[in-house]
Amino acid sequence: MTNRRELLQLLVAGGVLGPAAAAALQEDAKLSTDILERAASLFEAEIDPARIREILPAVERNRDFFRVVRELEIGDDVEPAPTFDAKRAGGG
Amino acid sequence: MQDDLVFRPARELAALVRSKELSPVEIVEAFLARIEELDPKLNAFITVTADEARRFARAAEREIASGDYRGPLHGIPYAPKDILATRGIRTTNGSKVTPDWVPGYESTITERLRRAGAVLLGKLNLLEFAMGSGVLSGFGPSRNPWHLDYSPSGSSSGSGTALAAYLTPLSIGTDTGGSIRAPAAACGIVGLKQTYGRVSRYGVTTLSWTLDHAGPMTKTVADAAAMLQVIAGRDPKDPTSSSEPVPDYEAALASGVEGLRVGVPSGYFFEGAHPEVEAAMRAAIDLLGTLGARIVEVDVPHAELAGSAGWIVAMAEASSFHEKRLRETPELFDPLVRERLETAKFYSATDYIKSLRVRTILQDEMARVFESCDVMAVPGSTELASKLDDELAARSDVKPGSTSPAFRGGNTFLGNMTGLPAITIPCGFSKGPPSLPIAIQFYGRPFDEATILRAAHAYEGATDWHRRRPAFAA
Repeated sequence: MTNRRELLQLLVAGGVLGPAAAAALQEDAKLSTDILERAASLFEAEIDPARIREILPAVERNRDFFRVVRELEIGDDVEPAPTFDAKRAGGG
Repeated sequence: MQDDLVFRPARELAALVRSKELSPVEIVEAFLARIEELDPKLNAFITVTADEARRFARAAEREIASGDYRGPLHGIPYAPKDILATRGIRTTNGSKVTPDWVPGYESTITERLRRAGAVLLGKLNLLEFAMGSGVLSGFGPSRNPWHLDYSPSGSSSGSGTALAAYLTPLSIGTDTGGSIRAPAAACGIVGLKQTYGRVSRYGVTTLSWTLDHAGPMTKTVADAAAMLQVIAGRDPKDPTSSSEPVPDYEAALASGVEGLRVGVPSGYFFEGAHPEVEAAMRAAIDLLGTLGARIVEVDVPHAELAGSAGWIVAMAEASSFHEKRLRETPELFDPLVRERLETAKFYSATDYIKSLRVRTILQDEMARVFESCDVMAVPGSTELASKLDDELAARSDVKPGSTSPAFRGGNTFLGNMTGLPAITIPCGFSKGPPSLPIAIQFYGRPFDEATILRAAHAYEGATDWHRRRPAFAA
């Protein structure tokens, strides 16, 4: 499975895309306390600025870790499974 | 008999109790003495209920003497993870947030064990709220009996430690992403995460409503079967519990693996595996073949997503569950739990729903896997037990000096995301030093715990890994 980011990385590595695309990829990987503060404000999450600074690396780490889910293309016919479904899982 | 009593599996103790060759009082005294001797170095227990255990053991002795024998757990000690509510007995969740909570109700699991005559020895340590660092959790780290500088893994850390050190013959752990099976792998014991809904979650403090399971942790597969027999089945107090009939698990153990189709996936499940884990797994699969199993290749194309998607679901639900506590007393949380709950506030609803769609994909793929096999075998963990983190490293998922995501949970999270049953048992030891346990994990069809117990029991019967004792606890 190849997602958008992986495709860009491949094209940059293969020389198909130039330094601007590589720089954009780098930039894409950076978060800042400002961004997080704005996001917290948007979500009305009660996290004080000192904590925002402390958890920034973990939020960034999560973003990398979850990219595989976020960039996955899923077919329109796949509905969410809110919980275990024995029939779907091959039982009953 | 007294000297080796604690080393006997629960089923052996039960046979002696039933024949009245051994009293529950003698058994309880032997384990209490061992806890007193060894636990100060292991920190497996948060609470020891010695007086209650003695009182309950005496009652069991009287009942059995008068012919009222309730079954294989009657008079046998156990200790659950301290996240199961016990009426009138402190239940800490391993946290300084709830260090003195004394529930006014009993979890269905401990209630069923009590009715079966099992004797509560105490409550076992854990990673805070089943997701902490261990090191900085409310009651400090449990230590791995195979080497005290090493982690027993988690989150059912105390259960893994206590079983490996023979401080209890039976335990109950909980498993949201692998928290029964990971300590089973790290400590060389048996961990069973049954099908979602097979066992009631009533009275088990929530981490994630849709991923949480509570199940047996034991020294042998037969002991896990005996425990499951007692705790399985519909519970009106847990609407997600299933009314699927509970079969006779002990009867299933005798069937062996002749003709059983064991699926072995390639790719993700073995990626990055420690070479000794890989070698032990291949040897275990060969042995299953020698015992008459038919080994078939299977594929779970999106297995790599189970860890990431599972983590989103687990932490999003945990962040919602702990919202009030986190707002009111954030400083009391293990720093790692606090970080995980706070960072989960930045997951979007779309992330969560997409992860639930990944759950659909994984359920469909596993249903296809079980069209061509009866059980699927994968490494219990691709790594050996690790050293306990220092306090700085324990504070965050971002480890000092590390540039890559540390978490790789797909081998176990697959079971939570699909709800399928899985059992982890020892299948070897690393050369060391220190020599550390290696484990194999069997997945099964929904509500088909009988078949994974059968496969695990057959493998266990042909090996002696489960009989090895750590030097510390020998």
